[in-house]
Amino acid sequence: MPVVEAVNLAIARGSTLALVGESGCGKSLIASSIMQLLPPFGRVNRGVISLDGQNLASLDERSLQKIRGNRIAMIFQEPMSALNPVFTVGAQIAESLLLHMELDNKAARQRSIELLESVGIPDPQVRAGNYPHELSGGMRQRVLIAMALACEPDLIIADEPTTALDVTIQAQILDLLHDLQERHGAAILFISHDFGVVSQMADDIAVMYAGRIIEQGSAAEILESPTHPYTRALLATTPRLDHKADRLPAIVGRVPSPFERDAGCHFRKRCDHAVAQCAASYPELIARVGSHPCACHVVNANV
Amino acid sequence: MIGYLVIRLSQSLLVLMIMSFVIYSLIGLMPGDPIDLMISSDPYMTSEDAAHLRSLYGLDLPIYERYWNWLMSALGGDFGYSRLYNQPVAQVLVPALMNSVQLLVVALVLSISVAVPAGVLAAYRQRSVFDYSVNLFAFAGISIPQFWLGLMLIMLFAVLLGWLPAGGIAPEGAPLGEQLRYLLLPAITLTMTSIGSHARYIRSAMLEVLRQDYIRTARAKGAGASRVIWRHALRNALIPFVTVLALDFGFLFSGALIVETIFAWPGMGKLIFDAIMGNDYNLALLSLMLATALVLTGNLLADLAYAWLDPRIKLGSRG
Amino acid sequence: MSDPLVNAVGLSRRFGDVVAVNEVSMQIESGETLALVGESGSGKTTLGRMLSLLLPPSAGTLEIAGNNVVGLSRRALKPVRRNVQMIFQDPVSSLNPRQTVANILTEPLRNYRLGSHTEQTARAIELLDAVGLPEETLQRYPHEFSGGQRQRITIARALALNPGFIVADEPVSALDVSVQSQILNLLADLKERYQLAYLFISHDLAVVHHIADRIAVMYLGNIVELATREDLFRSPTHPYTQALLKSVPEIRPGKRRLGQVLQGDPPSPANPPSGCRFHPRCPRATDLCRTKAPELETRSATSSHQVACHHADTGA
Repeated sequence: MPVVEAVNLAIARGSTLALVGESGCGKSLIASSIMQLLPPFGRVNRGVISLDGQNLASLDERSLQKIRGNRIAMIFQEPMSALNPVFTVGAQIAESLLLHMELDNKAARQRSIELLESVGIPDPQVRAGNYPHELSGGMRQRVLIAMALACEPDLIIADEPTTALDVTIQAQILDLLHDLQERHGAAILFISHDFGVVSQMADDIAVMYAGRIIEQGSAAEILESPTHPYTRALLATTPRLDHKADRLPAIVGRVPSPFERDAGCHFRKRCDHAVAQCAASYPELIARVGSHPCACHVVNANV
Repeated sequence: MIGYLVIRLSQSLLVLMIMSFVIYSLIGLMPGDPIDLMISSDPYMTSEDAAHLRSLYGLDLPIYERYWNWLMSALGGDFGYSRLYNQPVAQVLVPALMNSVQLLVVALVLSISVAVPAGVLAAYRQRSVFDYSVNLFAFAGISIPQFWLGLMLIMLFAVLLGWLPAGGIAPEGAPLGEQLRYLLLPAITLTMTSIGSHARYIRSAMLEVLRQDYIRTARAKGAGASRVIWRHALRNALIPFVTVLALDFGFLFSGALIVETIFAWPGMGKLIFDAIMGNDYNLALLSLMLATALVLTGNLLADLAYAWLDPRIKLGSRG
Repeated sequence: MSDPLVNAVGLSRRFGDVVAVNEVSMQIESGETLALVGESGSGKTTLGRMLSLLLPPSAGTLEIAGNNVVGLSRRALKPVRRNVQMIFQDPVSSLNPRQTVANILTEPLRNYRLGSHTEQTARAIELLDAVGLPEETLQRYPHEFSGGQRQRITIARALALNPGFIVADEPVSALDVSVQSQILNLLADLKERYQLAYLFISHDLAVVHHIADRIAVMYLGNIVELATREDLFRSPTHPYTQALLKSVPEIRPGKRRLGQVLQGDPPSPANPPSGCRFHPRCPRATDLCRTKAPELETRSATSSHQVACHHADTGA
């Protein structure tokens, strides 16, 4: 059964594409597909994943191992559970270096201390010898970022990297990601459910719903003139500091599971604008003249 | 760390003291005493003689007084004489203890060295033919009674094929190969049950660990399957396994009692059996206490290994 | 003005040597939502558990609807407990998976021996209706529902005894945005309908901005600022509140840095700094802050805006 379908994404060097959606929309599966690290029984049935022109979907496991952690690195949501509890953080960073670079143990250790310093960890020499449980949540996330940076990857996939953190720590981590992108020029695929965080990070935004991208464009296009009814409803229902509504305009119902999807538009049952055509066929993701791509029969009919 | 060890060792000593009294009382509760055995084997013995002997051995005293007397001399290093062997108890025990430890260590090493790789691979290749075979083998091992397995092995390798001795132990000073020939069948019999449960335990612990986020992190770093399994996953899976191993140690020891009896292996198990059947108070008491000490040592070693494997555990911080 | 529904004075709670909540005083009126904001380790959950009578305070007094509740026996507390209910963050673990919804909703009624079996079932249907769930829900089990529906069930359960005061600990944090807004609207409707008072514990300032009448900001066991929603968002005064508000990412285009808002991690509550507990991270800290802890005080005689800062009037 397809869980994620017909997704087309492109990220340029030095820029950040944010993938936004609610839980179950398939945004994390896209991350695992790019890494070719799908859960058991999952696979990429069709399509191309290309990194600088090389198709990752056609590579064997050995070649993929040379790319993972080296040219593509990942930052995860739960910094506690994403670190192995029985190894020091220094050793876990050094492992990436030893796997991909021609370094001996001593040089790898030295380099991992430098990396800890570069992500703003005080006393990196001491901290390298600490186990994950001895660090705070924010520090653990910095360690994961240092680990991802170890081999200066071309693409960093950050899957909800600040969701588990307090808001002041989140601000520190987001700024850190900005600095690092400027310094290393990596492309970032930033996965999040939070429009606030996304608007601070993204050059471009793709909105996902029930396994498909339903709207895609520059950050300004999506945040200032969203066209898809789902994007608009989602933005309107998000509580914000600069605007106080008496009631939040709610989106009724819930996201259909992969078992409940049919040939029509997956959002139509929650949509205020649905017409007969929405049940008949799934709308293509196309751009009207002078606008950005949107997968909606109603939007695309009103030229 | 040293403070922790001191506390743990003194706790163990306390447990041993309490156990010595419990065991002493239990033996005292057993029907009959050595004098009854003498009466039944000597028709000329009168009841006055028996009473005289009882007071000579101190058997007419109340149990706590007898225990106190035993304890005082035991603390002085005198554990009494074995009635069956006519030797100081310690002299009888030490070689038996050595033989048992030899059997237990070989069985344990054998079990771990088969069970750990089998369990790990079964978890990695979950639902494969290998996984199912490990499960089948494990259940067979757990369900087959040791006495039956021991007899079958003797039938096959000693009686039919004649490759290995049916029982006993190599004469002192025999070459290592000869010693191993005697050790093999009892060790395999003893190992069989624990291999099954150990492999299944490692398998489920590994399955749990392989689901963790840090395994995904390791793969995302570009670590290959074998590195992920043997380096990242196994060490985490071993942490709960060590506890099971310690609890199993007592189980293994009681299994040794049966196996040693089947194979006439002159170890603690056989000694305890003989001592209790022969009303040999001193011998039974000290061998049971040694068994207790062995289990306590197993537990202590497990706790140390636990702290060594898991950096989150700090020994001694709990007092 | 009548007595407040909830009146806490100098409420403290220690766990061993750790002071989780330090001499907190607050009042909540009927029909009012007081939001409690703070980061992990700030003591907001501990304070919430004390106000919901799940945890006895180590010191201080607490009155609910005029009744003292500190130092009461379980039996003496039972009638007061009816008036105070709690909604938790995780609607999965706070519902017993082996009970039907009917069982879950009638349990509080059975505990207080209220009504016959038929009356209890009728009440359960009424509760479901209040939270927007159909009657058929009664015979089903929690796992058959989505997260938002489960949170509706826990809200219905909390309403069963007609409480006047509900402590909601991060009630929408585990939910998706679209479901979150449904629950926030429901909570607002219920407050209106039943004149409920809420203590709304949250780390999410945007949610708090939407739902709260007044807001208390906690840092390391202390309330550092307490004000109406308008005052707090218009003129945040404590440097920690200011940093907190600056850290909230706004929804507007333009890839941007926030700039160092606050450095470092909050210190451990087990080993708090001397004086003002915020001073090691505070841009305005002086020697006074390092030695003397500031009191939570109103800024002027006419204002209800309370701040605990020696330099409340100097900072911009």
